[in-house]
Amino acid sequence: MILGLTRNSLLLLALGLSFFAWAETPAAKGTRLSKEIEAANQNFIGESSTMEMILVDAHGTRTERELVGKTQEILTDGDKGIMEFLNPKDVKGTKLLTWAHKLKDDQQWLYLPSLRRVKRISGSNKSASFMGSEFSYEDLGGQQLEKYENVWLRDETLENEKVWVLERRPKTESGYSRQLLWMSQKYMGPLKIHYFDRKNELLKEAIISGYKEYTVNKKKMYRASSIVMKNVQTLKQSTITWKNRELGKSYPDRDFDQSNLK
Amino acid sequence: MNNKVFLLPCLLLLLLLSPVFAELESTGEIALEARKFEDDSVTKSIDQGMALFSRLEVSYKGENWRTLFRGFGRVDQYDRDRNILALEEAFLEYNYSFLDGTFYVGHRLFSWSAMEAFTTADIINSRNFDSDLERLEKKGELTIGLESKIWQGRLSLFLWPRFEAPIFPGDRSRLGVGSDLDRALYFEDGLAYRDPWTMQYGGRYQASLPNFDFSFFAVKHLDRRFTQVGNANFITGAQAVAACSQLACPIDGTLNKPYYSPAFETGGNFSYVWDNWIFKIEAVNRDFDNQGRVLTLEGIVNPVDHQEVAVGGEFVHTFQNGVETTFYLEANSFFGTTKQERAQLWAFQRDLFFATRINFNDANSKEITLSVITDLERSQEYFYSASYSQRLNNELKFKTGLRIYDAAQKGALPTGLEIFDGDNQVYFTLSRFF
Repeated sequence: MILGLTRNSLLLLALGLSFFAWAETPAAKGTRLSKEIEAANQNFIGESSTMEMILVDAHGTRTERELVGKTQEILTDGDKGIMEFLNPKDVKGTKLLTWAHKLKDDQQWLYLPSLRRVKRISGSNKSASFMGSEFSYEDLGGQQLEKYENVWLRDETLENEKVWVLERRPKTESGYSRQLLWMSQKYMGPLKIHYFDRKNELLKEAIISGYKEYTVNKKKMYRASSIVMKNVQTLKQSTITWKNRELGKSYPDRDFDQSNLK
Repeated sequence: MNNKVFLLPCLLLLLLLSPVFAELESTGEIALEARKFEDDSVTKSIDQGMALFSRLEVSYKGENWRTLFRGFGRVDQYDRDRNILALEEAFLEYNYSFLDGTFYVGHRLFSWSAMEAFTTADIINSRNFDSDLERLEKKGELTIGLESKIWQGRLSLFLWPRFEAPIFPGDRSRLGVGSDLDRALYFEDGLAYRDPWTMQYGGRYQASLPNFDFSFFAVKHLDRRFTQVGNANFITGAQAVAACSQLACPIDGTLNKPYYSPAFETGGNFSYVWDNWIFKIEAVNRDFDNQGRVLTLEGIVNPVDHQEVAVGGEFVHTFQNGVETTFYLEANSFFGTTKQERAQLWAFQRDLFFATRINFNDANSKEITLSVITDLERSQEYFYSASYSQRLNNELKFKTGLRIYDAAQKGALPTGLEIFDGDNQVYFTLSRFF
């Protein structure tokens, strides 16, 4: 006996210490899960869709927006995307071209059709509202893994779906101090996101639903059909619904060239 | 109006080339434009405007080609000289895979400047000088163009076979010089012509790298940024003294003809993005052929070779409540000229521009813009502008504002911004978009 411990007790202690040495830390698990989620959503090649956005203010007044968008997957860096506004009519034809990057600020150009002018805009202004909605450019832009620190918090069940609850903290400039994500283990995408402002107070809640299955080159992946974003501080709400979504589309590079916006 | 000749064939071409009419994309606006100038106590001038403005754009896109037509028209109840029908774009474009190329023919608008106020590099299209000074309306330029991807950018080559004359205010307009101008002429081989068919050409390369955009261009064309108003057909010396008791006098007795000269223009621009800042610089060197001399109110003049440089920046800040504020600061200057020559070239010849745009980022896109342009060289020359706009619903939007010109005349003749001194105005525009 050493210090009152039996041989069996020592064996158990040694096994326990070995287990803790091998077990993933929450940060390592969060990073691993995020990589798995990213990999599950990769190889979609290109995507097109129509987005309908409904803005509801605190008094219940509704305003509608409509956009068409397409994305080209760039596996070595962030994706390239272009969105064209269809409604309201005064901004019809306005286009936003984004070249997302994994670590650097995104490159963005805005095409103003009335002036036939392509204007470079600062890609670092991510916290700005997108078209007066509760969505910011950051919410809709590429959420590159490299730009966040992901920590696994716990496993849960939400809406009868098994989820990982992850905390995401930005490594680069962001409008948020952190985000809490309820990641579906089936869809490999979020079902709910809580956004915390720079004072670490809950700012917005996103409910993501309507996941549909797509197959690209025999690989199955899921994409959501709807996001309801509610600002809990102002009680304003915006909903995005995707229609006519197609994955696996291949676009020529020129479609994402700023000179091709005109 | 010459452009009317082109409207009908362009429309017909558009329709003939569109096999599926139902797939035509269209957009446009109809606007009621009201404006009121400060009374200048001149009976002849028109101090108010009430116009109906309309713009229509129709396009069709095939697999490798597209065609587009865009034009606008304005009818003013008080000033018939403001009535206009202008062709902005009417072209057919074909894309091919070799060097990611594009070929097009037809009228086009070009926006080469990255600046907000001092659009130095915007040298191609003719302007409507009877429109807002800070953003003059443009006319389309008949162009045969070829574009290819070279390295990180695109190289464009242009032929402009037609001289598109600018549009000038009438003699009763508060934005004019108080007299009707004749049809525009241009110099070629020392002679003045009105025939619109003449060859102009140029090339431009533009590219984007992670933090900056840049472009270079070289153009041989009829420069329409700078107008010489007078008469190229004049007599001098004893003959003139005998005829009109002056050292030079026009043969037909008029000094109301706008002239344009061929120029070789080289330049470019550069925009650098750093965090929430965008820094910009653009420059142009103008080398005129100096083929023709014009007798003007200031004497016999030749266009003056010069350089024009504009530098500036913009900064965007988004507040926690979503309001986005953008600050703009720009400065420009003409070099290679005397102070007096600079002042005669353009209203903003060595000026500073400061503006702020407050975008409330709400469902109605409420926006306030405040700006001031002040002359750094000539005393007491200011141009103030303030505007407010908001959307009323998905189709309706209004904009209202005021413009104040404070540039008292200092010499015998008004020069530069002095032409607009006291032409202060308030305006209201209600637009319906479709």
